[in-house]
Amino acid sequence: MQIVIFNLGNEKYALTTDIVHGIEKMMSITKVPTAPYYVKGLTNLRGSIITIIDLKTFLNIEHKGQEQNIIVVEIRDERVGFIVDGVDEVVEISDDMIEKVDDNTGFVKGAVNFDKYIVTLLEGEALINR
Amino acid sequence: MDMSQYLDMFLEESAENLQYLNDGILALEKNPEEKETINSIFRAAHTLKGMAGSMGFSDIAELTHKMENVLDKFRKDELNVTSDVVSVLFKCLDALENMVNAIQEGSDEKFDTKEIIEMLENIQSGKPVDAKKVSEEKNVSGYDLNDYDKEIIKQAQEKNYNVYKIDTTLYKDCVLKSSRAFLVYKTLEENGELIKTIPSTEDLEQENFDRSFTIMLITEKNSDEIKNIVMNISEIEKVEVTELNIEATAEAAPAAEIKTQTVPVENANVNVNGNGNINSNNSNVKTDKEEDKTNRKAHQSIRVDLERLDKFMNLVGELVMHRTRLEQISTDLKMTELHETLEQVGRITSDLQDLVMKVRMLPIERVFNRFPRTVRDLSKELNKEIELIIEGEDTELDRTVIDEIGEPIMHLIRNSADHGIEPVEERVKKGKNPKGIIKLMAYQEGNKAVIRVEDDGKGLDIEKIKNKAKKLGIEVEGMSEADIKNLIFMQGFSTSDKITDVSGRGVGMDVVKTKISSLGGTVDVISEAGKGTAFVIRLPLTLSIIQALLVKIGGETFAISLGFIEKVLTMDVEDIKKTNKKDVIIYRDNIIPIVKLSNKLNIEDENTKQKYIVIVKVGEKTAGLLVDSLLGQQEIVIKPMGRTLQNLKEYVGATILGDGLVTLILNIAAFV
Repeated sequence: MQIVIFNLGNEKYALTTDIVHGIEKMMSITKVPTAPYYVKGLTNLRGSIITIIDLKTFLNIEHKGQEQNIIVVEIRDERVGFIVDGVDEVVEISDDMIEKVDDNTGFVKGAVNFDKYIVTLLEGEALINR
Repeated sequence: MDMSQYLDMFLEESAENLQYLNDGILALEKNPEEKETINSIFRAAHTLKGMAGSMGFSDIAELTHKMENVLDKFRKDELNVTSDVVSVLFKCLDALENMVNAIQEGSDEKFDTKEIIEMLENIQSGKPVDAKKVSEEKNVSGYDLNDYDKEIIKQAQEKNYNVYKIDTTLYKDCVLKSSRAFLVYKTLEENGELIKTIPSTEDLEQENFDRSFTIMLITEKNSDEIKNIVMNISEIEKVEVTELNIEATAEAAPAAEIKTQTVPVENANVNVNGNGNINSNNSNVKTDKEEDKTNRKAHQSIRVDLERLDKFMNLVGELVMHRTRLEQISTDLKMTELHETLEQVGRITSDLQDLVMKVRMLPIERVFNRFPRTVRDLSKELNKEIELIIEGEDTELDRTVIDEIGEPIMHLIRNSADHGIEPVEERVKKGKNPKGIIKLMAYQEGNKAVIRVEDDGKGLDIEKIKNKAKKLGIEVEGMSEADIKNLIFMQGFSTSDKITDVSGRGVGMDVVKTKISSLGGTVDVISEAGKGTAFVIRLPLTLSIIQALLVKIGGETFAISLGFIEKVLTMDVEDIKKTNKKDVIIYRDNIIPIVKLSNKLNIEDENTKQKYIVIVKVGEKTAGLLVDSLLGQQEIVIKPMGRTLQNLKEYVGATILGDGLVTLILNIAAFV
């Protein structure tokens, strides 16, 4: 399977590409007062309105690093954008490379060890269904 | 091609015909002597039967046939219209409706119609069986014609239509046999009414035949004409037209009506002229003319899948959005040429938008016309005398609203009948007319459609509501009477002493309110003890493109639908008064509450003294919304927000403005 690796603070995370609709530069975002704390707001993605979620706030990661990209995922006809600190690359991995990790949030699919660094593979669907 | 593409049409037309039958039988019960009513319901039943038969729903066709027999007795004055008979007919209609619904839902549930058929047969055989049966049993030219086919043929012959058996043979090397057959089928259909095809239309379409096929047709044309018409289609080798004969019985039937659905328009003209020339006592000509008129009307409209209309509207929405964006760019660039062109584009998009809105509009009659039946049943069930008066049924609303609004209105009507209208003795004691009246009205008010359900019953008991409120822990002190009455829309709020089948389970009114809110509307109750109760529903005429006022609150832009706005005032913050710890202003001699939107939305507002108050009216309530500044009026397209945000009740959706930025649309009802 293919995964797209990106940075959040000092760590590396990834999503499987089958749910990724596109990767965008940062866009202007309209705040939604009274929305859940991790919702950054709404943006205009080529004529359709999508919800933008601050992934660092959502996953409780310390706010370091420059927010550079929005990864737009599409799950069950719903498009949502995740703000990340820059996208690294798209790599092909095999299923057996995913190692189980202790996780009680339900957002983590597993970890992938690339020797130089470890990537946490996120469960896209769980992120949206909160 | 298969039959499924005709299914939608069948379902819709069946629903229409059933509705028509419902209305007709209701009218018949009131006025049994009205011959025209009997004839028209007979025609509707006949059409239904024919359609069901041709679609292969034989159980529906059979039941309708039995019902038709009973109606026929009415027509011939062999049977009197009594309440019992009408009740059986209604039962029959309900059964038919269930069957049609089952087809719609795709379930192959079998309905036991034996009991109803038996009842119908009993009614029918109340009088001696007429000669009809005998003629029906004569076999028609060896073909397997069922009861209603024969009946159709017989009636057609009574009316001097020709009934032909048309044997068509195609060329040996004909490539697209099914489409040739379809052409023949189609052409003949334009010239009369098809009774039967051998093999079946389905087999014809799937090329399950050799080279020849047979069609039975009722037509006004003679055999040579029909022959020529068919021979004009290419790749036809041979056509044989033979007349089908059933001995017309000597039964002196009064001009039997037959619904000739497909008499071509040219014929109608001939008939009209003929009528003028002959000017005789021939009543047939008149009925023909009437039928043709409806036919001609039917030819002028087409049925369109609602999904396509939705797509169409979405596209127009996008267009409006981009037009606004272009206008913004044009203003920035200050180019006259661009500006002029854009103005043209603007006009066209506005027209387009109006058009697509109108296309989606339907008269509310569609919803209203089922209620006379409801009220009749309710009055029987509750043993009260109730009359339903309907006004303004031609008021038009968006199709989406029409689809959804029936259920809430039904609830309000049931409520009025059950709780509003008093039992007969009580009404007499109070000196009221023993017959209670429920009034159902629709009219347009500005850019809103208003629906009122009124009754002249006992009105709401305010003490009862107060008590109930206390039980539920709601503080009613300091609430206005109107507000207290509107408590009935809260969840779990039913003041009925006993729970009846009709209403009073405390799940009704809040469902009504929720449903109406989801359509962007409001519902209020006005009531006077002893005089009656009125429920007022206000709905937006259209749903997705609205005129809105853009306002700024602490640096953020929001849109407010113009539909709610009464007036905008400028105001010094210091002029806002306080009473009972609430912010108020005096507006047109009334004290109205002020809602500080910045507080509600948790935004820091700008620290300015001069602010604006947007006076809004939601249902019967008026309030002032405090905003920092105004940005002007604009047409906006409402877009839904995603799943993550859809349960935020503060917004009805979001929109994209000319500068490409997303703006939230406030749900005013949530703040007032």
